[in-house]
Amino acid sequence: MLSTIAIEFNGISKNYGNSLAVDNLNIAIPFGELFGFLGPNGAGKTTAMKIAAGLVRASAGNVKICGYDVDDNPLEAKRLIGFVPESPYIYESLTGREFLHYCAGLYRMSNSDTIAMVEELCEGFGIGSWADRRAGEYSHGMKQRIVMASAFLHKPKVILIDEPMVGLDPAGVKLVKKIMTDFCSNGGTVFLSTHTLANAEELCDRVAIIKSGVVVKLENMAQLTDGHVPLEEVFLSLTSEDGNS
Amino acid sequence: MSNFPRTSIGWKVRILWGSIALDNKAVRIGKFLSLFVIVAFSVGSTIFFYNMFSKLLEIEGIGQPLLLRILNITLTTVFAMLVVSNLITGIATIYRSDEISFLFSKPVSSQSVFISRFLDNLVYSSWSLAVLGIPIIVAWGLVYKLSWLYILMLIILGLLPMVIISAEIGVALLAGLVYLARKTSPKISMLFVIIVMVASLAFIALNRDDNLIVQGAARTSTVERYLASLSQDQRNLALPSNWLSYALTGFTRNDLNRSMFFMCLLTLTSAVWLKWLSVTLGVIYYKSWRVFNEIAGNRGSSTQAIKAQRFTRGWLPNPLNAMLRKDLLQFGRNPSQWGQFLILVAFLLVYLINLVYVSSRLDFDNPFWKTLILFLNFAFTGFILATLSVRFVYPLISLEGKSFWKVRSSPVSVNLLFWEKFFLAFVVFMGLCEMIVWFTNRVLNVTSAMMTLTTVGTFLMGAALTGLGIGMGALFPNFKEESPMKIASTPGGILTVVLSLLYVAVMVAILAWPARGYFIYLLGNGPFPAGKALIAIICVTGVNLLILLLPVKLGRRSIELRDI
Repeated sequence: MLSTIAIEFNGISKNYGNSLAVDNLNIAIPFGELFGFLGPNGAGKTTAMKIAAGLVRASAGNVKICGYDVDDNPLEAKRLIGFVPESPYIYESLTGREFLHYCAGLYRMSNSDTIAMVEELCEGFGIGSWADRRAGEYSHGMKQRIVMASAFLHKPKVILIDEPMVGLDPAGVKLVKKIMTDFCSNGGTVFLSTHTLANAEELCDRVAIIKSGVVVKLENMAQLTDGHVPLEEVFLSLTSEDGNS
Repeated sequence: MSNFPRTSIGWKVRILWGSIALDNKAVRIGKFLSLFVIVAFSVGSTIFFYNMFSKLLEIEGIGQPLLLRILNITLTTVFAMLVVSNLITGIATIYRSDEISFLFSKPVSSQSVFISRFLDNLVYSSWSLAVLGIPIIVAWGLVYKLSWLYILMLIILGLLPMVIISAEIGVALLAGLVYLARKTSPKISMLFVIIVMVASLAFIALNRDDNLIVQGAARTSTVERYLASLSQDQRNLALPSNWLSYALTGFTRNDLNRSMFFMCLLTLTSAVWLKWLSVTLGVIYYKSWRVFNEIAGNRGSSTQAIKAQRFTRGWLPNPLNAMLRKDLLQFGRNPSQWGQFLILVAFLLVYLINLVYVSSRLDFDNPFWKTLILFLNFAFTGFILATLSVRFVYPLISLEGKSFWKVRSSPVSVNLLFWEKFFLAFVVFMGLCEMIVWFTNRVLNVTSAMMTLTTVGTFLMGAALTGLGIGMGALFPNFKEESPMKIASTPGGILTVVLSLLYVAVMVAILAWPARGYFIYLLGNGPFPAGKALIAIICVTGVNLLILLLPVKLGRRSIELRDI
């Protein structure tokens, strides 16, 4: 199925009992864009991200990945996604390399492709020296790198990435920034959820700011900051309790 | 010692209550339904044991001593299982839990943390067996018309201290294991424990005097000898389970002094050992916990790239191959998993040794004994399958743990995930159980018709119980818990035990019906039971399809709808 839109949220809502986590979310992200999804804690960023990854079911609306509905064609949609969750949990008894090979198996990658990609990613993400140690011994940052490598392993078209810089050292942050911008330059799409405003300002082409489940602003970075207003100021004015939308 | 353990227990009760309050309506109803089934199971077990004890006591002369032997064997088995259960669960509760590092970061003494973890372990390891133990005590009391006060005393001052003593032994053994692992390696220390346990079991099995069989007991001419042997009181005073047995029989023989003595002995021993553990293991607990985590963190595995390729290269297509490899690796790298599996295999070996021992002494030309032992063996195989299913199959979905996001965000259907787990468990457990059935049928020298019946029956039971375990595990998953033993001890696990045992009972009853007719036919006292066999086949097919498919369907739906 051909589509010019990589990620499409169509009227997505999610409620947990009486509490509304996401309310009528409508966003369309084209190929090649690095899209920032900003908001304070508990605004609904992670829920929206998980709905797009097929981990949470929406109460209303649908999400399409490259034209595939995540609910109706989950396997086709998931084949095109690389997902990096906020908490990088991996099987503690496997080594990093085993985890990557296991992920390749889940995506039906051939043995030769797997070997080549694992080697490339181990080098690219700087995990080669400890890839053969069990994950139980890894720090948060090491796990984060393994999980990110696993997201790029099967050459996805869309990367959904939730708070990528948490737990990474400065070298890791620089590396991840480069990998994301390179990915978008090659036609991939990144949907980045973060509250690290400096990174969003530096990396994102467009930004949506979400507050209490509702998108209060969706503009490209230049429009949002009016060329000179710091993003932090814009963000705080939009998300403060008495801020208007 | 501070009042920290008490505070800790108080908080745990509050957290449990809070989690129920936070559950949605369906989950809350499910939990209360599980609680209801557990209570109903306890009441049903009490009625069952009451009827069994009453029927035994009606057999003149032989009934009472036979009942005492059965009680001793049951209590000793429960005691042994509790020790093993505490040892295995203790790895997760006493040494691996994340809660421990949190507690050690607070101004709480090592002793207090140890006691709080010990109590946690005691509850997790023992509550399911208590569900079985209390009905036995109550049924015993009702049969001998004891007052409720005495029954309550037997539970609080008899059963409870015995459970605590078994926990103390299990935890002490675990501490020894950690010490040994520090000096050698975790695998060697686990193997050492298994070897010691197998040797002990084999010794008990081959040398015990309290078994139910004496040579020639099946023949009327030797019944007197059998009765004489049963009347001898041969309980080993070193076993705390026998102290409880003495306490129970003291009440029934109006020897209150003896009952009180053994209840005091149990209570004092459990209290003194707890104190002793807190001043010995409690003091060194922090060091021991640190050593354990150093050993666990220093596994020194260096998997070369070539080894990692097993995930993408294999006989089976991917992603099935990758998921199977991952599950097998996780099993092989968790000593508490393969350790307990080997202990269960050791129990089975002891059972087989006993069966050979029995078969060499009983008159197996008698169709009555042959049928009885055949079906007891078939029921036992079903019981093993039920145990294996709950302990190893039920936790399979939950063991995906917090990493479940990877599978659910990958192009892998929940259906495939379920059948991968089913395939893995079914092949292993069927292989084991079919071997038992084949071996025991050979020992019993059964006819080919009976061999076919029990082999097919075991196959069907294996498939159904595996499906039940996986389906129920998905209906009541616990992705936050890493210990399979603790996952199996949750209300969902106990509900699975109850359903599995009910299923095995129904299967044995259905198959025994045409089998009885077949033996009557063999004796020339009736026609070949073709009609009965046909009805039994239809019933067995229906029951198995229901037990195999319904829980899997419900569990799969539950996982598909679940937010990760």
